[in-house]
Amino acid sequence: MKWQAVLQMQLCSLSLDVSLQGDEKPTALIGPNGSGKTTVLRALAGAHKPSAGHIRLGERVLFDGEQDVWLAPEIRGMGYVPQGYALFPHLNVLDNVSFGLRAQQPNTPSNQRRQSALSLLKKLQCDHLASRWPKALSGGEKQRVALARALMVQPDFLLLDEPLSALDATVRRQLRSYLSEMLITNTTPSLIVTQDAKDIQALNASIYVMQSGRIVQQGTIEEVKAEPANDFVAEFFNI
Amino acid sequence: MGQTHRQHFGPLPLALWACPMLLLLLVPLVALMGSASPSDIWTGMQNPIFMPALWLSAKTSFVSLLVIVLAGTPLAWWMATATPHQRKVVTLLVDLPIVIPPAVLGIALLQTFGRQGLLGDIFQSLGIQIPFSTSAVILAQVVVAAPFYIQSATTAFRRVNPDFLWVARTLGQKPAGAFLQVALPLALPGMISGAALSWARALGEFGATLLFAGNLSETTQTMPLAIYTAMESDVRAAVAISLVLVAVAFVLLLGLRLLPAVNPQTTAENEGGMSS
Repeated sequence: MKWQAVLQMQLCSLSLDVSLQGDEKPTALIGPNGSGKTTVLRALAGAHKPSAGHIRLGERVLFDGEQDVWLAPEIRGMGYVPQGYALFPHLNVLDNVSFGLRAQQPNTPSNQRRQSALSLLKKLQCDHLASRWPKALSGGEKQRVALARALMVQPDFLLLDEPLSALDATVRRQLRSYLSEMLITNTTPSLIVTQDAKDIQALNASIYVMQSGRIVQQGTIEEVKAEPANDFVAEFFNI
Repeated sequence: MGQTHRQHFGPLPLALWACPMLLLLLVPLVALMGSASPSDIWTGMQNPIFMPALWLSAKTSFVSLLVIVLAGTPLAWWMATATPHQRKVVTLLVDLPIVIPPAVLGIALLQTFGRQGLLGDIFQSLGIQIPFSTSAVILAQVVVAAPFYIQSATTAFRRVNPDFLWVARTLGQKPAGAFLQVALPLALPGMISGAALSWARALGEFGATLLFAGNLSETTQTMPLAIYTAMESDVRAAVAISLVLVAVAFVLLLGLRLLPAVNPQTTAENEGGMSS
């Protein structure tokens, strides 16, 4: 499935004007802090309404500035994992993961919804966490649970904001391969904000480089590494 | 070094400087509690104004609390999600009843709902007379007590990390669903403590009630007004009512202190807040 996002908007001091596109293959968004990466993710999720542009997911139009189309977040089919994971602290892991089914299957008894969530947790090898509270999870466990919660509703698109940044090096290595295996086998298109070149290599992602609300470079790892657009890219890839 | 500075204030230890204020707060309460024997209290409770005032205070303060929570929660949520400029202006307006003397609020309510008041004609045409009725007691309590709930609920809502709400939305919840299933449970401890403070303020309301609702037995004579009346005839009754109010206040305060233990899972991670 091909996707395309052209976004123009002004948010506080950030003037955003970007154009991105991709397919089932993961896409990575990199750039210095404050360049607008999280804003792009939030705009795709429906948290910010751009002033112009469009967002297309296959045949579906999620936003079109000219035709005044703007779908609310709840009907976009986006799986959003924000930085810090935002697991609901008042719900245990099982209820966090089954949360999306409340709206998707309102007539299904809650026990059955929990059963579905448990099956997914088993599949992701974290069913042992089911009765734990978010507060009691390690960074890596939180990350898996947040992913499970996003995947539970079978989204058409995954938005991951620095999914590995809060983890120590060992856990990060383990989860990187877990994440890449999951994203590659899942074939759900994804846009991942990352600060680590190893994430991009593991995911074999195509890259967009952002700076001050603009895309300054795009391409495969090899293309971007061959001609880094700025010092940030050169440092990012240790060139 | 810093420790030394904190513990001393001039030639005397800081604790000694702190004592007068603490004593000023405590001694009157101790004096009140020691001023009546159990039999005096029992006699005071037999006074005919005691039970009607207790019942009226309980009834009106609970109705006021209900009104405050039902009408104050949407306002608090709106204030938590408004732009900083809007919030500043509205917070100022909401906080006004805290700094305006209650007697002034009583006059203001009369000027609004009284026969010659701003909305007097409307209520009169409907055959409703608000001043000097139980409704007036409730209105006075709502106006003086609501800011405490609204302040506390707004702060609690602002502490809810907006990412929780956006994630809930991407998981299929409409704005109302995200509010009810995520924001509300996370803000609940703050809302409960605000509601408790608000209720305590409503229970103790005197000035606005006296001016707007009067001091009519069984209709508008709440416990604070009954104390005022009893002071002229039967001090034991005044002390008995006062002790009931002190006991309620003490239980309420103790309950509030224990509140964070209600849902320990939510306390650590619900951070981030709607700071923009």
